[in-house]
Amino acid sequence: MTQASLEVLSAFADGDAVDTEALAAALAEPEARATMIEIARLRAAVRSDPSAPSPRFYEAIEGELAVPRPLSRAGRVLRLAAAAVVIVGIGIAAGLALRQGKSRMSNEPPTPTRQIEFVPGVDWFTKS
Amino acid sequence: MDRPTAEALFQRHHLSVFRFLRRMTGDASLAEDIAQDVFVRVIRGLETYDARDRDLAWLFRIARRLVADHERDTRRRPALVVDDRPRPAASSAHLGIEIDEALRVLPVEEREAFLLREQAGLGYEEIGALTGATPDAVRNRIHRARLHLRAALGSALEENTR
Repeated sequence: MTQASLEVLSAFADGDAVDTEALAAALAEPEARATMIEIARLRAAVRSDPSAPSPRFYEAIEGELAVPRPLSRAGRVLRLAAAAVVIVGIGIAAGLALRQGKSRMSNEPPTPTRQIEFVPGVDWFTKS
Repeated sequence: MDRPTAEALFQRHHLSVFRFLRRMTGDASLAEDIAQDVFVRVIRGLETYDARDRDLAWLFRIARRLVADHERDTRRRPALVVDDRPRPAASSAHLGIEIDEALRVLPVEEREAFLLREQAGLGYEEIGALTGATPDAVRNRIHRARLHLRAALGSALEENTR
């Protein structure tokens, strides 16, 4: 069997697009059937690999999966929206508080904290 | 296309990734370490998801790069390689060992293209995109790998898969 024919059969077995005339010629060769069966056997043997990682591997990955993961795009958008709502809320509350503070202001003088008494008859310029 | 969750990717593909790595490196313990690294990177969001890739192709892209990193590191400081591949007791599993041995002596490009096709189920285009080879080159590599494996395995294939 020629190398070209073997290659065509190999590509055909992989589901690749092959030239139909080349495929017909390859399949007409006496060894074609055996080649196709060997490719199928090899594939079955390779795919029936029973190996698996040890429990240590699964424990490590489970530990990783338990760690909080980065948010998805939707999660990030939601978190940004929540932050914006909180900021706007704080702004509105601050504005209201300021307005209420202003309305409480009147024309009355503030409550004195110290009182100075001027006693009549004291001569500030006479040395004692 | 939204990125699938790390849990879903792990559940769906960890065995394929591990088995590919085991046969690429010929070392189950090393394959486990690299597979763990692949999924830790995915879980922690350290890898940029490319929606153009299939999930599996994306994972194999990461796995392949980590194997290359490991090979570069070991070239710098050669380490003692302990061959701890599983030795199945059942005779039906003997073919698996023979396949491992036959794959081990294949040129790396052939082994990689063959495993990405047969074990991971990737197409020529996907393998080409991962390895930087043209689809024609990928087809050639897989074909050569099959010829080598047929020659190496001989009648064992027929006896064990009948």
